[in-house]
Amino acid sequence: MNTVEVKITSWLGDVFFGGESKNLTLSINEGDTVIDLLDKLVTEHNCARDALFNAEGRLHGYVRIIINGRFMELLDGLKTKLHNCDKVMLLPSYAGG
Amino acid sequence: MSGKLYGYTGKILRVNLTDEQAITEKLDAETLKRYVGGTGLGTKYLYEEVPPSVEWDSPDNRMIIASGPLGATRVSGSGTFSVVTKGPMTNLAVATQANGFFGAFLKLAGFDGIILQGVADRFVYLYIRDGQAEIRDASHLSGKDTWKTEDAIREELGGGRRLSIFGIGPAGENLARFAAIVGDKGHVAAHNGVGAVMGKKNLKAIAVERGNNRLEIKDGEHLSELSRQLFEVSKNHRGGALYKWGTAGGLSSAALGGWLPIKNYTTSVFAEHEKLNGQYMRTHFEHKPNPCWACRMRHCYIMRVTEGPYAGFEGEEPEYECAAAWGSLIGNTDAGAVVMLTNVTDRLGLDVNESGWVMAWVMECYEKGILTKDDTDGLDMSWGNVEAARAMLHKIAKREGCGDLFAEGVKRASEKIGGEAPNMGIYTLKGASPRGHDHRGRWSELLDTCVTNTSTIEATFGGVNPEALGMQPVSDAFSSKEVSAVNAKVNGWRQFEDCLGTCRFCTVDPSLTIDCVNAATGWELTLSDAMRIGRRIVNQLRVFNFRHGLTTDLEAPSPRYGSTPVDGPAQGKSIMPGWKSMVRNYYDLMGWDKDTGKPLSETLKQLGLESLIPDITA
Repeated sequence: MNTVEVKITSWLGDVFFGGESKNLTLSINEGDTVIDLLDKLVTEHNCARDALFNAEGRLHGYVRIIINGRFMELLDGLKTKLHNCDKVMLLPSYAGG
Repeated sequence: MSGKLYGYTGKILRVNLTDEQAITEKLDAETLKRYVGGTGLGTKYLYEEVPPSVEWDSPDNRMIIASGPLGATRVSGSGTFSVVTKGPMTNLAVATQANGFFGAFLKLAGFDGIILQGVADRFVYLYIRDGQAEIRDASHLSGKDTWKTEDAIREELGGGRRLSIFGIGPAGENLARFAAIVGDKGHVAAHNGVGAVMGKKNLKAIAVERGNNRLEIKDGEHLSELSRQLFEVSKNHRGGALYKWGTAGGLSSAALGGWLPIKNYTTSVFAEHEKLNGQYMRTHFEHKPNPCWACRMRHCYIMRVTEGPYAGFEGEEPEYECAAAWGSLIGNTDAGAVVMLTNVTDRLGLDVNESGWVMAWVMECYEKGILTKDDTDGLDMSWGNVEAARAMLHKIAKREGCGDLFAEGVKRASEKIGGEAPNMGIYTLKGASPRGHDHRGRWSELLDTCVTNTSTIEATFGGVNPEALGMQPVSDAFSSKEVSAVNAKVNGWRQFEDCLGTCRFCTVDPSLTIDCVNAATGWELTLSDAMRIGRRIVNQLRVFNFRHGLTTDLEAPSPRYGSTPVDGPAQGKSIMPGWKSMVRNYYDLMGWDKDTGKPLSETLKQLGLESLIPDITA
């Protein structure tokens, strides 16, 4: 089974788990993309939907996603394919400043 | 338009320092509805009274300090005020804000704002109370830092906590180009050298006594309820992070996301971020609340360092940008040193952003042999040498020795040194200081910083947040077209917000904020109205700037500011290949000429600024 490590940082960790930062290991299927991973997070964590997506289903502007140390926009965005042992970081912008 | 004014005193204080006269002028309802307050009122007076022949250091330059319709209400943080003037970093307009109590006390003393003009023949301070203003000798305060100035005036006037005092330190007195105005022990109007403008006027400080002026609010009960709701929303915004950890709580996010400035942009990787962030400081150092007017946001604390070489040092808690400047930017990993340098900066009366950029640039130049000890008065400016940084801050503030050059800011100092030095400095070509981030992974703010008319971010704030305004976010933060389009769409709200006399951290919900304004004033503003008011300010400042020498070739980053990150999450991605098209798209969507960047006549007409058309087309 393929897995990816997901690190949920800063206040998103609070929203999801009541802690500042949280590491998860999630299984993925062959060919899964970032959006598939986010769907899985939403399925498994009720609070994830509102924290990650707006009412129109678009990723909130404050959420940056880094895959193996690189912004996902510089890869293939939400369509970036994930591979075994990839490291995915969900990083929220802070409250100004 | 006429009738009773709600939410305002309806008066502005005009102080001519040359002849030491203070007069009260009326503000009519039409003016207030058009310009609202704060940055809006400042824009009106700056535009009308400072023609292109007036330079930042001319006695005829104006400095307008203003609260707004929510000032002194129950809205959290409604002691905030705007400072608008022509500043020395850009020799263009500046609008910058400070929190604390001053804006609220000013209204309770009977004024919505102050217009400062002229120059005193010696250092003076202004004392405002009960609708009156008095100019007092401040010769004995010359040389004192901002905290000592505050203490001395407080003792002299005997007003205790009924006084709010903002002033300049040695940096403003000596006309350091990035001098700030500092007050209420920990609050700063920082950008574009407003402290130098005040210093040039020989105005050491302004003390305002709270007074008993009662503001008439249209619907006080409703405003109280709305204020409570707005506080709750603001407190819980983005997981309540600010409430828990202050702005420095975002330092680790910045480090992980590559937007923390590290060693003058020479790297985007900083493993030690958890030693410097707000979480660390608030869990390791003693701290007690130091709230602003009517505020329960726990944003500001007085902090005492409890470990390391600066154990025992007490002062204000560093904001994020202080932690960035005096931590990663200069290669320091000791949080106690961050507290120390933050307080030295504020007490000397310097802008922490430009201070950080200068220090990091000096350190890189020193590392590369462009500057040696001969150029630094013997100081060892190696990365992380916080004591050398402290000594250099004093030299800059007093313009002593090498500090005289570095007090000019990165752009001018590096141009004077020449060679590779200007290529290593972080600045905009206008001369304005970027905020304390590495914007190479946050293109929205890099663009905003370069095309702004306020000399600091104009449309954005901690990134761009279009969703708060009912718009869709960018889907690709590295798309020149999308980023410029969203920046143009959202521009207006932040400038409206800076008219209100409130803190941005406490007005995170635009709809509730507008409801508060309407409850205070009896107006019926909509979000669309608010955006129009904000865009009017942006455009009026832009016309001002063009009249005062702005050219569009200046709306770009310095080579290092616009460089390609060598590592980190945006490694190898440069904003510059698409820069020109990004700026042109932004101009176009702002209703400005794509080539000249000037507001189109049609745009000015739509905003009710048709009277400015001859000024921009002449």
